[in-house]
Amino acid sequence: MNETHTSVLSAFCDGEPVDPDAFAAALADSLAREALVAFVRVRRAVQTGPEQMLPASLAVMRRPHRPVWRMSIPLPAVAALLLVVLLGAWMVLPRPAAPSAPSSDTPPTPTRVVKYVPGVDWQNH
Amino acid sequence: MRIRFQSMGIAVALVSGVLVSTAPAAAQSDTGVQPLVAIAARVVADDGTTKGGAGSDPDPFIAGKPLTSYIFTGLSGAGADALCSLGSSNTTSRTLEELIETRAHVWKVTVTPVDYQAAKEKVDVDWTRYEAGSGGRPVASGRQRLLLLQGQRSILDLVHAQPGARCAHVELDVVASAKEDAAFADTVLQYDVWLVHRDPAGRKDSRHMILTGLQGSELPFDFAPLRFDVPKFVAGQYDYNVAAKVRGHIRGRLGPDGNITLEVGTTRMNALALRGEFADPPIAGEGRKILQVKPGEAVEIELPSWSGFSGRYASPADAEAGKGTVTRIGVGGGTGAIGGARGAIKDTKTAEPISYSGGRIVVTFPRFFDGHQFSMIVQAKKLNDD
Repeated sequence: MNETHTSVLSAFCDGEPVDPDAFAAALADSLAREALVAFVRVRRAVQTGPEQMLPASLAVMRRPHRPVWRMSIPLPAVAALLLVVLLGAWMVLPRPAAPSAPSSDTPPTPTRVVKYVPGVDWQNH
Repeated sequence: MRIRFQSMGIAVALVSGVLVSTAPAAAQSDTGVQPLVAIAARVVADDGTTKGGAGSDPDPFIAGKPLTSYIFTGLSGAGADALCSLGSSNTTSRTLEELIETRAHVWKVTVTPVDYQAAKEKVDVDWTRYEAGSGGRPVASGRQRLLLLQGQRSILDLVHAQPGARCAHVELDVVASAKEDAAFADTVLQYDVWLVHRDPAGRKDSRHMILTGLQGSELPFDFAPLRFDVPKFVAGQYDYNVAAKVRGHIRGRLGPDGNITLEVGTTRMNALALRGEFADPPIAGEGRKILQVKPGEAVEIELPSWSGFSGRYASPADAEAGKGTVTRIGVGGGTGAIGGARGAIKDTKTAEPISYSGGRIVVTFPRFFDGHQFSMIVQAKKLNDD
């Protein structure tokens, strides 16, 4: 293995442009190939995203991520989705009781009213 | 006396528009209940618990039909503990002379039912106590007319034990009770009771209790006090409020006609209280009403306007300067006076609702609650009878 081979492979791993003939010569060097594998292991150890395991030249081949808000969704689909969400919420969320069905802690309307009468059935002390 | 009492019952019916039973027969047909009366005695220990008792069987309440019974303690030679054991006999199985000769104490009690109205038993009671060594002469006696609510015991006589005895005293009672109609005795009734307060602006506040019990059972209710703010008059004033409390009991009976006869007893108390405190002030007023309702029917019972006043030292400094009674409470009529060198309430109808007088905060309840209305709404039904 010579340093030229490892430099070419290191540059490739870093995403730098390399000469194809020099790259082919480096791959023919078994020690340089082992070095390339070592480079890959080091990158894997320090990086987590799968796309980052690849050189930039290969990474650009992936479909770029686009934010959801920049996606073009048809307007009727958006309206239908909103409708479904609103309908679901109306069905699921609790609603206040109707005025005609008061809670048990609310006193009922009496059918008649009577009074304690002092001196008759009420005594003040 | 009897005429006056019956007139009172009719007045209740006319004024309140409720049905009030006017005779035993009517009461029994309305509710199926048979009023009973009994003579009883019980041994009470030092800690207030009952250690034994004796008495007559409950006798059907029949106006004019007397019930006579002998109650006696242990043998006269049994020493101090003779008082701590009791027995009873009717007048046919034992003679008074025999009992006086052998027992330490003997009572002869005669109870004569007078009348039964609005679930109250009126009885005449005549009792005599004899003791060993008194030569057959009575050592105490009494004669009185009593008005008893169902379940009420009225003490006729009390004898304290001698030092060293294993009981504290023996008391002699007359007891009013009732026998339920067998067809309804197992009926369970549910009661909804609301305490409703309306302020002068018409705002309504209510408290609610649900009670269940067997036919004829007396069920107590006790609402948490309603509290009203008291303004600050002096620096360092205690954090007072006016606490109004209502408690009572309800008893119902389902009748053969499907209606429920309710007895509602109500007690009202009010006091100038520290926040969170309710120091069990004297009862300001109490009443009892008999109603006949349909199952599920809601009936409102209005409580009368308030009376009396309550005064307490306004601050620690006032209490220190006063050197007197901390709490002064007046209840009852429209006038009253609060002691103290520097102030007095002359008339609870014209006094300020709340005032600072004589080092005390004084609340005059008729003025303080002017425009307020307190009532209870009651509703009863047979349980599982929606």
